[in-house]
Parts: sequence; structure tokens; C-alpha cells
Amino acid sequence: MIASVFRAPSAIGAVCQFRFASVASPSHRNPFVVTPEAFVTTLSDEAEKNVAITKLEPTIFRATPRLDLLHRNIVWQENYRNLQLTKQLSRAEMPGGGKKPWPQKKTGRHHAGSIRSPHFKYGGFAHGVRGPRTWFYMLPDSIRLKGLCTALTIKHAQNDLVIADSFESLSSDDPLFLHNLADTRNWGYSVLFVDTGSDVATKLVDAVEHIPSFNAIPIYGLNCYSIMKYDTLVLTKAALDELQEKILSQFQRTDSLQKKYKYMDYKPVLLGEGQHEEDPVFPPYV
Amino acid sequence: MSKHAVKSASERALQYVERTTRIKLQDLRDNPGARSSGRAVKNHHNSAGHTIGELQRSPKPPLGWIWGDWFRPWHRMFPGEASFNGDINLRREYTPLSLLELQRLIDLGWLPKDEPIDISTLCNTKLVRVNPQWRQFGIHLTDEGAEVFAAKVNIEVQWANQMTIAAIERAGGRIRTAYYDLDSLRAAVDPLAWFRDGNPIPPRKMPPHSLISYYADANNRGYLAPESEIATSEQRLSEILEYTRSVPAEQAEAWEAQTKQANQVFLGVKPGSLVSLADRKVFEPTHPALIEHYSPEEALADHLR
Repeated sequence: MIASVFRAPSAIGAVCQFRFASVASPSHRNPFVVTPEAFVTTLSDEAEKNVAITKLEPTIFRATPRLDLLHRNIVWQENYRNLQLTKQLSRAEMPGGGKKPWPQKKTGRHHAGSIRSPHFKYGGFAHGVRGPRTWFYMLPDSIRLKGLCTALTIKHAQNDLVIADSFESLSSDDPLFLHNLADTRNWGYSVLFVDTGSDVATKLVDAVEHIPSFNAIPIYGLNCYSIMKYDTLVLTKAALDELQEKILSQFQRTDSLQKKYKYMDYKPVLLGEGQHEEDPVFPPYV
Repeated sequence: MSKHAVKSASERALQYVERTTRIKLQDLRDNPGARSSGRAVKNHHNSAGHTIGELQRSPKPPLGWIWGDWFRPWHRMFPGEASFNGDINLRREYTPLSLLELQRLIDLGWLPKDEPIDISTLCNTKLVRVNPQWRQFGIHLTDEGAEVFAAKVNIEVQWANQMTIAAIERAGGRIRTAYYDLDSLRAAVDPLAWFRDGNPIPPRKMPPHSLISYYADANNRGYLAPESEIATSEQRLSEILEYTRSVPAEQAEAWEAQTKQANQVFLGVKPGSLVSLADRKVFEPTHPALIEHYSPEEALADHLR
């Protein structure tokens, strides 16, 4: 029997919803599962004021803390965009240097075969950096998911995860107010505000602009590196729900989480990138 | 905080996380032994093996290597028997799908409620996989869960026994067994990939000689059997297993409209049609030679299988 048949396709973030008790999600049947909970606070006053309490998905916020997978995610984020465009020319690629500059013997000079040998002044590099090179690789989706869940689990377990009802509740656009608010509530030095979209509440944007260690991003910008870099993570309730739904839908998808990223799948896209810049007469302007 | 007396390994790990200082980027590292450096293999003037160190670090001979001969290792020294698995490349396989799994797929919403279920629908869920490359000829609906099956479906599979047929008909549904030759099956199991490659819809071939009797038999609900014989067979089965089988006329008409022709892979789409996903259009053949090729009067039989 296919065990995966017992998963439901619809990914609703709410923890307690399932249609058939006999096919409850694995976390409900598991007696060891602890459902994490978080307060929902307002940002209207400096003092902490909780308005609600929500249950969080254990698969996301109480996942096994795989620090090694999180490390792999951080390394991947740092390296996969690296591009090396330098090419150090070798002695064969340097101009000239085909002829033996002076005879082998009797000149009293050192033995030389070519003026572009590495020890010559305008010679080529012996073991130089060779040509365009990329460190691009894709981490399997399962590792990336686990990395995200580990990061979020760590933040919640260490009391560095704050759920705000909405960023509209911030009563003042004064950066000092936001700074004092963070200070009173014992948030860390660096705080990351995460909203659903790129249209963030004006007051928050104005306040955050003047505090270098505070930043606001939309949910599609959330990544393992940012979660671990910032001391405190502040999510809106809407952002939290969307995040849970997105991650759960990935866990529940039926196609493989071990997808190979093959060049052939992206080749037409990559080769067609500059198509709108092509002109029959003029070369592209860079 | 957990109140459980016995904690899982995750919870015990999280206890450390809760009590330690804030975990930062610099605290993240690989597990010990996760990465190892590659072994440097050097050929020391063709004299590797002079010392024990060289022997230990040198590349070892391949498995089964008998002194000197690189092309006849031990496991290839002995001839096989032609009669043992001699026909392995000619056998047909059917992916099993139990009625229990089918019920669960319907209950959890993986399959549409009122639309006909065929091999394309089942393979699109990606929970059921049929691979024509491995000579899998379709889906075998098994009777495990026949007692609890209660969904009214219009299903088309490639193999079903009497108990399965009875279970589906007892629940008020309709079952047909249909043959797909491997080329048509490739189109049916992954229609998206087939259309993206720009292939025309192939015509479904008739079953080979060994399978004609199965698919022409009304007792197996074969797609080649006449409807009247199937109706008789349905009544007989209901009498034997003591349930009532009565299909209202509207339902029968609806099912009639949902039935594929013998040479169709997808319902309502002529063989030989080109499907453009980008334009969201279906282009049917107009040239008489193409029409004759894709919809011949006398259907081709899949005799090579």
C-alpha cells in the first residue's frame, strides 16, 4: 500500500483541521509531538501587549534541529551565485613566444624556449585562474525545506520569534519609538520584520529606514541566512499563515523533492535571455 | 515546553537548543565525518605495491577479478540458462492499485468526484506511477478493500478481477478494462511531457492475440465487448453476489457520453491531433492520408507485444 496516499492535497496551515480522523496527519498520531504555540502581540505601545495565542505547525516550528542541514543551506546561499569571470592567459595564449629567443648554448644566458614563459616579464601564467567559472549548484528541495524549518524552529525555541498582529498597529513612525519598543521587549540588536508583500506599512518603513540593524522584507525574501543572521524575527500573523501554507504544500507535494536541476531543462530560457536586446545592425549596448 | 515523560530524540535535541545561547551563523557546521577529502591515486613509476603503505593506499582490483583477465570476472565466467527468465523482456506487468487506495484517493480529494477516472487521471496525481519503459501495461485494480469500497466512480483500468468489478458495481459505479499499447501509454501516463515535446496523439492499437479474449469478454467488462452482453453480465454478477444493480437511464447516458472510442487515448480528442499547450489549442489532421493513417477503418493490432 502506498503510505503517501494518506496525505491530503490541500495545505491549510491550521493544525487541527483534518477531515477523517483515521487519516489524521502523522503529527497528530505521534504521541511525542509537541505543538508549539506563540503569542500574537501589538506594536502600539513600547510595553509588550499580547492579543492572542496561536498554535504553530510542529513540522515547521518544532522540527528536528538539523544544524548540519542548516549549515549546508547557508553555504549554498553564499556560494551558488558566485561567478568568476577572470581568465589568466597561459604561455600559449599570450601573443608571440613561438620562437626560441636565443640559442641554447654559448650565450651565457639562461635556457629559454619562449619569451612568454611564466618567468618572463610579459609571460603567461603557469597555474592561473582559468576562465569563466561558476559555483552554481542547487540543493535538493528536501534539504532546503529542512533548513528553513530548522531555522524557524531555532528562532522559536530560543524565544527570538515574535508574531505581530499587523505592522499597521505600529503607532509611531519615530525610529526612536521602534528602538525603545525593541529594547523594552528584549528583542535582539538586529530585527527582521517580515510582511506578506512588498507593500509594508509606511510607519514601519520610515522607522526602519533610520535603524541600520532593523530591516523589513516580504515573505518571498525569507531565507535561512537572513533568519540566522538577524537576532529577532518578527512576522505578521498573515505572513505566518502564508509561510505555513507554502511550506506545508511543499511537504505534501507528490513529485520528488530530490529533483535534479539539469542544464537541459533551463537551456532554452538561458539562451533566450538576451533575445529582446538583439538588433540586426547594432551590437547590444552594455 | 513538553510535558511528556518520554521524549523523542527531536525533543531531547531541542532541550539543548532551548537552554543554549543564541545560535548564530558561526555556530553552524557540518556533522563530523560529513565531508572527507578524496583519495590521491598516483602511479609511482608503475611500482605501486612495493611497500605495505603503497599497497594499502593503491587502487584495488575490481570485484571478481581473476588474475590477469580484466574482461572475465568470476561473475561472468558461468553461462546462464536460456530457459530461466528467458522471456523476461517479453513479460507484461501491471501496477497494482487496491480498492482501499482508490477509496482513500477519492476521499482525500486527489481524484475528481464526477469525472471519469482513467490511467491519465491516476498518473497525474503522481501517487500512482506506471512506467511503459519497464513494460508496465497499465493498472491492475486489486480487490483488497472490496468490503469497504463505497464510491460511485466511472473508472477505466487495464486489469480487474470479478470481486473488484462487483465492488465497483455494488457501489453504483462503472468499470471498464481497456488495452493501451506502450506508445499510447507513454502519452497517457504523462500527457504534459508528451504535448510539450510536440508529439501528435497516437492511435490506440488493438490488443495482441493473447489479450483479445480478455478484452472482448463481457465478464471482464472489456472495452471491446458489446454493451448488451456487459449488461447481462452485470445482472448475473449481482445475482451471484447478492446485491442490486440498477443503473438509471440518465446515468447510463451520461456514462455513454464519457466513454472513449477504441482508438482514442484522451476522451473527445481524435488520434493524430496536435495539442499546443502555449496556444491552448488542439489541431486536428485534415489531410486524407493523415486521417487514414491515424484513424484507419481496420484498427492495427499490437502484434509485436
